[in-house]
Amino acid sequence: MRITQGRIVADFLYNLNNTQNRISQLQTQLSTGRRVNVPSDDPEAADMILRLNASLGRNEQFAANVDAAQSMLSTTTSALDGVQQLLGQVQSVMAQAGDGAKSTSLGTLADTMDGILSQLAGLANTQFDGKYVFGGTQTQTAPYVLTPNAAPPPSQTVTYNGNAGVIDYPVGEGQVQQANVTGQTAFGGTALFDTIIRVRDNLRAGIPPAAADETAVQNALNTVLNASGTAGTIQQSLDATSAQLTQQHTQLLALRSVHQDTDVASATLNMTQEQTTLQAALSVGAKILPMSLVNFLS
Amino acid sequence: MSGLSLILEIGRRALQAQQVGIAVTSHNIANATTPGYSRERAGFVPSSPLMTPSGLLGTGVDVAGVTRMRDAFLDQQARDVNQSMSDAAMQNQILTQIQSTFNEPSDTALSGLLTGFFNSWQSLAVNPEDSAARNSVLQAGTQLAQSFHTLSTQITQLRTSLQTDVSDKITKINTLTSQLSQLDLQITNAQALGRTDNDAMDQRDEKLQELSGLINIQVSYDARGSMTVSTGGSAIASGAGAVALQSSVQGNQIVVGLGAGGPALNVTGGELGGVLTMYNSTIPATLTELDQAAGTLITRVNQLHQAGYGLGTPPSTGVAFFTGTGAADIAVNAAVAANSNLIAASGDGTPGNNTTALAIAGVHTEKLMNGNSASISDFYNNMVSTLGSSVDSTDNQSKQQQAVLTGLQNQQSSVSGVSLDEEMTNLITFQNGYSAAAKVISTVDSMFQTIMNMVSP
Repeated sequence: MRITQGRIVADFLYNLNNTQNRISQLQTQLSTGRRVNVPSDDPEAADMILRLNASLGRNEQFAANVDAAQSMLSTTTSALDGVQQLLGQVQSVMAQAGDGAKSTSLGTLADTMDGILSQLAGLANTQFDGKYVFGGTQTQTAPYVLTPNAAPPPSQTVTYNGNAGVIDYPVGEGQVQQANVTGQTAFGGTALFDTIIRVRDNLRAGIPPAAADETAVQNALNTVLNASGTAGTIQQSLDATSAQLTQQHTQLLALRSVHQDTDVASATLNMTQEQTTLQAALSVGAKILPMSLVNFLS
Repeated sequence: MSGLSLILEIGRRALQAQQVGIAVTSHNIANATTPGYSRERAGFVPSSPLMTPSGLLGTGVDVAGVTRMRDAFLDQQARDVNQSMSDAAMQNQILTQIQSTFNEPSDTALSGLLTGFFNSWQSLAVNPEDSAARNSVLQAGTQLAQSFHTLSTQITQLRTSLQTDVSDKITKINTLTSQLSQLDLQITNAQALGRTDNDAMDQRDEKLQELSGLINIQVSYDARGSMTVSTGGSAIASGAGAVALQSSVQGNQIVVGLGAGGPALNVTGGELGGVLTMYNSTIPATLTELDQAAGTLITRVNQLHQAGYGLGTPPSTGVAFFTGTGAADIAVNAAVAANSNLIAASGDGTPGNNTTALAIAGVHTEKLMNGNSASISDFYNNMVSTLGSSVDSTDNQSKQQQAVLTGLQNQQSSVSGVSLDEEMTNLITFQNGYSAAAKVISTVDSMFQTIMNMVSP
């Protein structure tokens, strides 16, 4: 094949340009730390990266939802713990009232009961983040309202303004977790309050509590304990979900890194190689290109 | 007359021939870097011998003509490759622009905004009463709608700008075809006078190569060496003249026709072919897909949203979240944007209920597209990766064709290129030839002197 100067120059430029293109590509990969900067760098990997980004975004949202559910539930359980303590006090007041040897008057005990009742009502209307936690999905109205009764007994009536609505939080792909305990579950609707009002009214009227009242309070306590246990179980399962989400997050990040990130070691190695090629090409070019027979003719 | 005069005549012819040789050599050297130039060679032939008593006697050298070294087959191949290379390179250039419009993969691009939008509905499901959560949904919805809108607008603008590209290319094509037609006329006129206009032929080949980068062409030559350039079966240039191409926008398509109101041409290659493919099919398909994604989002979110309830007494219901039908006009319902309480999170009207918010958050993974086999996200991701594949494949195609073209150009240059070494060698040869011929003449001169001296007393 006849080789001409023009051809040598064109070939030199073509190859030099290719080398510089590769260097520029490697430089982008090294300076951004990413192997895939635009979809055309690796269309399949780009598809994976987009999917993984969405999964990561969802994972982070699920984790935030789990945190919110945890806060909601811990507010709920601490309120229920308070209710348990108060019911313990109710039981001791009732025991004192039944014990004839005690000197405390039934009227004083009725006052104590009154204080407990208003504390209970306060706990049953516990709010978290602007929401009444025991109201079902009626989160904007106080679920328990005590109103004086025009025609006693009883002297007060209790209304439950909440509902049995379940509030589910999304905590995973296709996975929801109930994050609320309704007043029905925790207090049997108005049963607990009705009992305490009746006992208090009786005490004020000088009637000691009956055995049926004690059973009713014990039942109420059991209901609260059950609700508290359920909330605790949900919290435990949320802890597990949270750990799972964290693990998933790490895995997703690792997977995305595999598709998206530059293998710095190999990119650096390739870069060194390309640089050597470029240097060699330039040095050879500088020697060969100016040469022709003309240089040797006197 | 095998006398001294004959030898003198042979010497004169030799001097002349070597001069022509040197002239051709210097023409070659002068044009060593001229694009499209083919090296030329002076064709030396022995002149007709003379019948003498001592037999046939040579009469020296004649220059039969100056020919250019060119391989028409290589030219044809180079044009074919150039045409598909330019087509792919043009498509690649436009697709790269579209790809950068999408700006994927990135959190701020549409894919990230889709995730953000549906995540905001999850946050709302967690806090359906919270006005901050409602504002987040509004903000995410507005950003998503804007992103769809921006993409659609930018791609449409890019497409519109291609109209100018098409008319620019057609102007170039028309200039080239009229130049080609003139060159062809010049060549055939010279031919008629028995001359070969090498430089005009080089220019004609160069223009044909340039034209092949713009549009798919077939070139044929008749017995006189006159060319006919045709595209898609219609002649567009010959020695008889050139037919100007014209483009017009007809409906949603650009049609290239032959002359004013002439038949439509089937342009399949070159840069014009690339632009037309983009304008007439690729970009409209991309826009349609974008509209499908936006349209499905609007329909499904609205359907769920209208069934849900907002905040307030009585709670609002039947309100659409998005307005519009596609990527170009998607927007958050102005009424909702003005009053975030109209956002429906509740499925039953109670403020703490979140079933509608949960359902809308679920649209992210709901398989609503491609015959219920892909979610909106999947569909969009697939669109982006398909676009990436097209960018990648057109890039590979154009690089591959470029490599083939480089190979062909190597071969062309092997045949037609000027080698300075070779020319310098030829120069020395012609110079030596010239000196030798001069020596012959001076020898004959001294022989004449000898005779003169014999005659004079």
